[in-house]
Amino acid sequence: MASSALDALEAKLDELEAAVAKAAAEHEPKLKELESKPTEQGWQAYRDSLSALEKMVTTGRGYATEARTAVGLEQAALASVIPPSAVDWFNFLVERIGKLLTSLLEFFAEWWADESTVTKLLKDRETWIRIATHAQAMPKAVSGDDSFKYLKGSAGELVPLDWEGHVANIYYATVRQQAVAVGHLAGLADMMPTAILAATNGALSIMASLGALVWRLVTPLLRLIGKAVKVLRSLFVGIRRLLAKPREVGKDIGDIWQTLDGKALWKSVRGGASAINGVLKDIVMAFGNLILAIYAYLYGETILKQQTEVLKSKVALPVWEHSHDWPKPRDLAGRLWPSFKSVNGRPVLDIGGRSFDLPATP
Amino acid sequence: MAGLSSNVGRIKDPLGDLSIDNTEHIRVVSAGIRQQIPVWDRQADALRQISAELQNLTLRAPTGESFFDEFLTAHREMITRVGTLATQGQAAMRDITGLLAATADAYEKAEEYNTWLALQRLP
Repeated sequence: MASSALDALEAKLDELEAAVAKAAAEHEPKLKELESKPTEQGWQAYRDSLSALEKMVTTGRGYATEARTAVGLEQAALASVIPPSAVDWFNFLVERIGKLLTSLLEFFAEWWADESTVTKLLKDRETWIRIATHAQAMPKAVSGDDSFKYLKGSAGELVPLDWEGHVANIYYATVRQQAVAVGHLAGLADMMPTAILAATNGALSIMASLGALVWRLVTPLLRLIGKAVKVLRSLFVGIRRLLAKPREVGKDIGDIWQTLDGKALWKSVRGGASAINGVLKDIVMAFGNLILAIYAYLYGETILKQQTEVLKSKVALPVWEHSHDWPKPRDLAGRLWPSFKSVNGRPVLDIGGRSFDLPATP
Repeated sequence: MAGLSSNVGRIKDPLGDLSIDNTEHIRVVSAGIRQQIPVWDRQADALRQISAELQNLTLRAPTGESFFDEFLTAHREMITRVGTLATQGQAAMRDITGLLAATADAYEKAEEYNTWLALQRLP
């Protein structure tokens, strides 16, 4: 019998509503906190929350379909009294809620696709931290190098590195030149972990805000299906009861509504409708929170855009002067570095751009 | 001094007075120069490690469907930029170690020549 299907469904919806209310009380405050204070560790709480929500939405959508079928069967069984149009409102309501829940499931599917992006980004952040550690150690090594200034002979006298005054100066200029480039690279690497964390935190803020909104919305939506089922069940049960004793109370259905049972039925329907009204108010309130969610979304999106711009601007920065390339030591004063080489089997010394042929010493 | 090219004599200027024995100073200076080579080798190693770590990054391109796509595009540009600089930096470090080694060689070779020249002038 269809009414038993509705009875069972009503019980299941009550159970789901209670489960959703309990879960919402647990997850929504956590999401609200993540919305304003996103952290790297917060993603797990978000994942748990979304997973629980997705499960309940899937169950709710299944119940909505079941409810529509059960109500259709009831109406068909009572077709002589209840025309199909009498349950149109219910079908409309369930269809709309069903679509909304389907949209939410699509949202979850999109999120889970992006979830791997978040996981990868956070993993890449660890890699950037290692890169930054390597890069940060480099400027210290180079800029700390002034040992040429303190070279000493066996008697403790300072030995100047001053061949034509070039070598020491060229070397120190090279140290400064390379320190600038190394510092630039370290600066790029150093900003990446922070930029990634800011971007993922911005995204978490958006996601948590939307998640909290969905919790606020899903609870009354599922309650709405439950109330609507209750109303129709009361209607069907009442009509069945009246149909069981039509001879006592009247000749046609019009008379039925004049009976006490009819009034009780109407009262029940009206009570249900009032309950629906209350739930609709909750939904309107939930949509009111949409404004807050939009603000959170815009805030998160702004952070993401800011970080994107920071990355772009850093990428565009020259390494030194106007060059985007790493400075070449030979470009600085390469010709001033002394060198010794063999040309056609003859030793040649090059100092300050001048070549000296040396005789082969015995 | 048959066989010597005419410019060889000018080496005396940078190396100082040939009557003074510079051998020890040249040894100290060339050793000092060579001691710098490992500093730049370590820099090159760090840059090689950076290049290797860049290969471990998993998000090398936007997915085309992600909320993060614009950020991922900028991230990809940053990977390319850091990778290019790390490669260029390694070449610069090799260049510097080469210059330092060549300079130390030049010091030693010139001193070797001057010692030889001084010996040739002995009565």
